[in-house]
Amino acid sequence: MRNLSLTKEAIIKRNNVRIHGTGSKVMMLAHGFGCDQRMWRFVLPALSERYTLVLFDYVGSGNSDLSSFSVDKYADLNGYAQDVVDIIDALELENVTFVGHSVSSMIGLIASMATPGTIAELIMVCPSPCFLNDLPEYEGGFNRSDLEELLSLMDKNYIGWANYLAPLVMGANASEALVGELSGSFCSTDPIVAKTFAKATFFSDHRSLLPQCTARTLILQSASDSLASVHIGKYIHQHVPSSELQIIQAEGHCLHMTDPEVVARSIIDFAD
Amino acid sequence: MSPCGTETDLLPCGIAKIGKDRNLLTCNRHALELLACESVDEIVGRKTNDLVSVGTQIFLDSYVYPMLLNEGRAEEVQLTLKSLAGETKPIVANIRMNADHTTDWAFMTCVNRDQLYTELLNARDTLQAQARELGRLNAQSQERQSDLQAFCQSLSHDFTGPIRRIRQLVEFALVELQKGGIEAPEEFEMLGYAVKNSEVLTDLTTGLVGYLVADVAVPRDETVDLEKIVSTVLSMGEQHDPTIPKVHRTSLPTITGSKAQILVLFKNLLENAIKYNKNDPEITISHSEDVAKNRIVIAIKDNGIGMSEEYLEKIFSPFKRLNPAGDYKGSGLGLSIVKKMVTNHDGDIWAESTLGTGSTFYVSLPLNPQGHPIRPDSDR
Repeated sequence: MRNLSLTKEAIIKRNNVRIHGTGSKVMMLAHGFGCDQRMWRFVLPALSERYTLVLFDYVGSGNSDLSSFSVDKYADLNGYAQDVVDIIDALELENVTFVGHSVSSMIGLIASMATPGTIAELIMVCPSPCFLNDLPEYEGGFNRSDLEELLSLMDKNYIGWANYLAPLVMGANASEALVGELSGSFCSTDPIVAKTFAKATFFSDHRSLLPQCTARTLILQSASDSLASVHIGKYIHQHVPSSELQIIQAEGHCLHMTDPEVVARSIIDFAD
Repeated sequence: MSPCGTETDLLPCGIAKIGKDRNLLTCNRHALELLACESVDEIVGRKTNDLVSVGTQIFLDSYVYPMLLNEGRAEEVQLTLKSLAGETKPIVANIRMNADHTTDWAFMTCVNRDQLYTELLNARDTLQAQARELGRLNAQSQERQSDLQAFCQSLSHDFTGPIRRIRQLVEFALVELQKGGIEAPEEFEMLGYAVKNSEVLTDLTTGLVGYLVADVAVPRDETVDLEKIVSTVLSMGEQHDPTIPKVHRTSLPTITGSKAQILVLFKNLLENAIKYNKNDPEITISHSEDVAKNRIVIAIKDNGIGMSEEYLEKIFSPFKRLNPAGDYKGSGLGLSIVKKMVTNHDGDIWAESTLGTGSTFYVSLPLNPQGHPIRPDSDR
């Protein structure tokens, strides 16, 4: 899976890789859908005291190189996981503790399986292996129609963006790289990128990967999260061999932003 | 802190305050109307998730809340409100997050905007599907064209080789028979016809390849110096044909098109003009430009055998020969190839003729896409 076609510098630029702290232990912090690495800033002070932190933006988010985006590559989570592997290879990281928010928990799992032994620990913040219901066995929380509504809502919110009609302009080459300017605003993601990421996030099912996880795993679930309920945390805990589950008394899907002290404490307790 | 019963009730938009735990703290009268509630008590304490559609819940959690937590505000966010009765309404909201993670909402319905957006999205999706289909057809046609090109190459190679070999063998046999002093004038004559016919076959194959290739899309945005093209064609003719025509001509301009196709176009037209007067061919090339219409009309006049008016339309059809094949060399495809190439260039071609006196072929072509004539280089 190693990507030999890109230099270290190219990968650092592509994913806007930033290093914080100087600890001997390496921790990668991976943002979730709809955001970029700045979402870790509330836990950064506490963690950077102890660890070498590797932060990055997925292609299409934050200050990544948008021209590296391809609808084909990022149509599923493997494309994003490949980028994680690229960063680990480029920086020659070993014994990594991978902290992934939301969808990045599954991206981290895929990357850990692709580089056996390299990601020794996985910390999943508000994870879900599958957002879709597969009743009666599994309650992901949403029906396909709910997720279709989400995509339509995203579309409506993105009307007016420069790249909104890009698929038309690009015509037959819609799957090729897009080049556009993102506004400096946080969470300002190119509509095509955002929709691609949303589809890869919300329509995927990675339940079958859970039992294959060999990394020591911590699952941090919010007590009240409409995207990933407590029972989903329990499901992951049941299926990931070496895992522990912590339910954090908090509201919402962004624990590391709403309750950064609690999250930082849990990460440190687990990783030390 | 309740805004209800105060001035906010007078506002024609919904105002609401949502707690850190995403429960409704308070709202104004307009918000109550939108949620189909009689009083604030009915909904105070309700989670926002109970008051919006499921798609909106996901959007709020995955996109809007992260934005609020980082930037403190989100503007012109389109969401779907769900009243207690289950009725949904599109709203557009400006949301601000306070230091204590409570949020202030100002919102209003946007039914018309939502409908317009829905139509816009449907139109975009339709266009996108059409663009994809167009791309697919384009790829298919490109594949066909490359197949055609490969076929033409093989046609040219596989056919002309054996034909040439047959001709050489017959010519060789003729020479050998004559050397051997064999008296068989009738057989010699037959073999002579075989040689002539093989030449016709070679011409025909070359012509067919040209005809098929004329269909292949080539870039038509090259700068084509007509003066150079005509000079090249005339010098090519001198090498192959001992009959050197007298040529009178005006200095032709530069146009935009396919160099290769325009070269073939003039080659065929000029060869055509020469071959119908075997003794003393004389060609006059003149032109006129209509800058306003972005057209150039080039006239090629010959002193050949001419043709009667009834044939003027037919000569551009493939294999249309007005004279017995043996009289004049050629495949019968030359003018049909010219016609195709002119059409490829959004041009037109027609002829005027007087039987026994000569013909004039007119080719009308666009000067260039910008509509301005490009003057020939200063070296002329």
